Amino acid sequence: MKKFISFLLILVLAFFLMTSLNSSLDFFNPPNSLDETRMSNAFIHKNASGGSDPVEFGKSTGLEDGSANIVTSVVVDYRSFDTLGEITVLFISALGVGLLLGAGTGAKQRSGFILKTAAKLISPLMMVTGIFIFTHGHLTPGGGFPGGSMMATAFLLNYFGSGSISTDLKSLKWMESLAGVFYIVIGLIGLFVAGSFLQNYLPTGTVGHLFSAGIIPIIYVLVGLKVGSEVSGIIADFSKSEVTS
Amino acid sequence: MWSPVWLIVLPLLMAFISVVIKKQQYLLLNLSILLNLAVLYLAPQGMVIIGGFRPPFGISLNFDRYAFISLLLIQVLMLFATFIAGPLAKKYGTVLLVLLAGINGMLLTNDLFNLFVMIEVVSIASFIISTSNGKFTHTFHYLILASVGGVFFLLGAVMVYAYTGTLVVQGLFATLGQLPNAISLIPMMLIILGLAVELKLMPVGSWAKNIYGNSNVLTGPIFAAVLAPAFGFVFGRMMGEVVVLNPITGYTLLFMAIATFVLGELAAYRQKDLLKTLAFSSIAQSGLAIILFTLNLPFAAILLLINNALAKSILFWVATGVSTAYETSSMKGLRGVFYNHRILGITFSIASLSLVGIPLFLGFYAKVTAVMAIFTTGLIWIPVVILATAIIEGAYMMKWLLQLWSPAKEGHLASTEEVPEKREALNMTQIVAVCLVALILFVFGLVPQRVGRVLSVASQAEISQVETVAEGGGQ
Repeated sequence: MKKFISFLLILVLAFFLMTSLNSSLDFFNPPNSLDETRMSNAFIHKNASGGSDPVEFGKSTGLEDGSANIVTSVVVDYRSFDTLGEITVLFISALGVGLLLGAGTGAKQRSGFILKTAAKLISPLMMVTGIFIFTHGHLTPGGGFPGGSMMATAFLLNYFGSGSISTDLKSLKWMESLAGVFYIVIGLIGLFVAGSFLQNYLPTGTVGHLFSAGIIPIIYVLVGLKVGSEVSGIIADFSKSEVTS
Repeated sequence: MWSPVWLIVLPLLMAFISVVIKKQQYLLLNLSILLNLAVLYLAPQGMVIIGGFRPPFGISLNFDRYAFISLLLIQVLMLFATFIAGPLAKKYGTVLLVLLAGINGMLLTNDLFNLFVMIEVVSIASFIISTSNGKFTHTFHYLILASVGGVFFLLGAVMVYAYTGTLVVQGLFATLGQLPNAISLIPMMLIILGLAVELKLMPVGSWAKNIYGNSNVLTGPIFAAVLAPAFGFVFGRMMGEVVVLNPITGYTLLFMAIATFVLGELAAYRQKDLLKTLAFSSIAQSGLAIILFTLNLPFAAILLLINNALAKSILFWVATGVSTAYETSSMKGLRGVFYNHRILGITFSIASLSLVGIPLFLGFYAKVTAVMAIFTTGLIWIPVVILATAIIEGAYMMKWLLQLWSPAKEGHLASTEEVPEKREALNMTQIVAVCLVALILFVFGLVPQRVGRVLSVASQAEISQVETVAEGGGQ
């Protein structure tokens, strides 16, 4: 009876939510053109601080935000503070896993020949792709979070292939710590040099070039390294916990 | 240079450093709280931009009197809580640092999505801290409820952004108020429901009785005296700047809060376990603060939050201290325990009398202000309910005080034989720290008007919204 009432309540709530969402946010018929009054428009045209010149790939220089990838400009420039919060979320989650599971000794995994050989072959490639994705986060889709996760996946594959974790876990901790510290230090330099925390103080260069966008690529590399080391740390902690089958 | 952003960044920086120098995490924790207190006094008040983009394009922090008072309360209680918890706080040093950064971010931020991120940070840190109770099922229950609440809050924030095109907290109600009622109803409901989990409101706050009821010397004070007021202050900010209430949302929230208050106190009355009593009392008091914020009475609500935070911290320190030492928190097992621990007994009595609202204590001033302020809204039945419930609260607190002080039967003098054998509940430095907090509470009770003058500036700084549920409901 209790479950039935809860189910009914959820149904009513879902009905309200869907009708309300549907009447205001038309998912199936997106607007044909950008609404000029919307805030997101300024992110696309990179004119939140004024100016109205059109942005041209490979040509525009010295913009307020030099990233060719609009998602990256929002995530690591306009709203970089949220990203600092999000890496803290991952940091604290990894810490929680470590506190709860990290005490065991770890069981040796057995792996077959095919897995062993394929892991040796593929995991370095995955590692390199991960690094490529986060170093090019300001140019192409991707960035620190997917790049870092890919590195951690390579770590996982390597663990499955070899049956044990060969990486020094202490170095992972150091990488995690230093990446976080440098993120904050870069932000603090902005506070002292440019006047506000996480403000860009390096030249933004030409849109679309690898060396452009000021502090964005530096931060994305740090985020990539931090995410990679943290998720690898979580995998290592899980591998230590008791294996029951 | 002295920017309020330090309040968030400094504990975070220390947390990242403390991963590699684990032995020093307790030192780093205390150092960052002390430095934060210095920053609080040195940083100029006002709006602070982050990332160099003015709002609504970038994120900003709102460091006004309201934020100042709440931050000061949190840093001070955090300092005492970590000091008294000692070895436990050492184990959870990094988590506490992240918790502090998240709470400061929550209280400072002027951006709805950033608020969600900070709530997420705080929730996860509090899940981890609650595992130190050793009851993982209860933590899991809390984790599920708080995660669902977080998703609700996020969905509400997304809808607010979709309708208004901005996430800036300050003055958001003015934009939201222009929307038709039917449209603003759902995001407002979602934001309130999202916060309701952490505010321990009735249907979704069921996690609190188990987490509080099994707390230790770290979790009890952190949850009741740091997290509870922090979320209370955030709710106040939301009610002042964001939430637009119409009769449906307004009365739903009001009834949820009143039900939480009344049922919480009734449940507390029935408990035979000290920690469970305090748990239900915390749930109930949170309901009262929400009633006051909902009726747009921030001054009374802030007074109540501060009184509860100080009183609850002392109650939980003493209660968890004695229940750990005597390995029980039942009324039977702890009967006459203050016979052995007189100083702890006195601090416990001061805190419980202030919580109940006995004259000469801050709680009295807070409750009188609250009741008188509610009369001005025209909803006369609410003060009646509050006063009737205050009698229940008084009754169970007195019952506990009598039982804890005297093991003898009514009308008889107690003798040493009836008292449980003395064990060390808290060490000397811990007792001194608890006494200091009790002294602060006691002094506040002696000069309530002066405290009130400081707080009234804070409440005016924050609340720019004029509409109340009473007016909305009357239309």
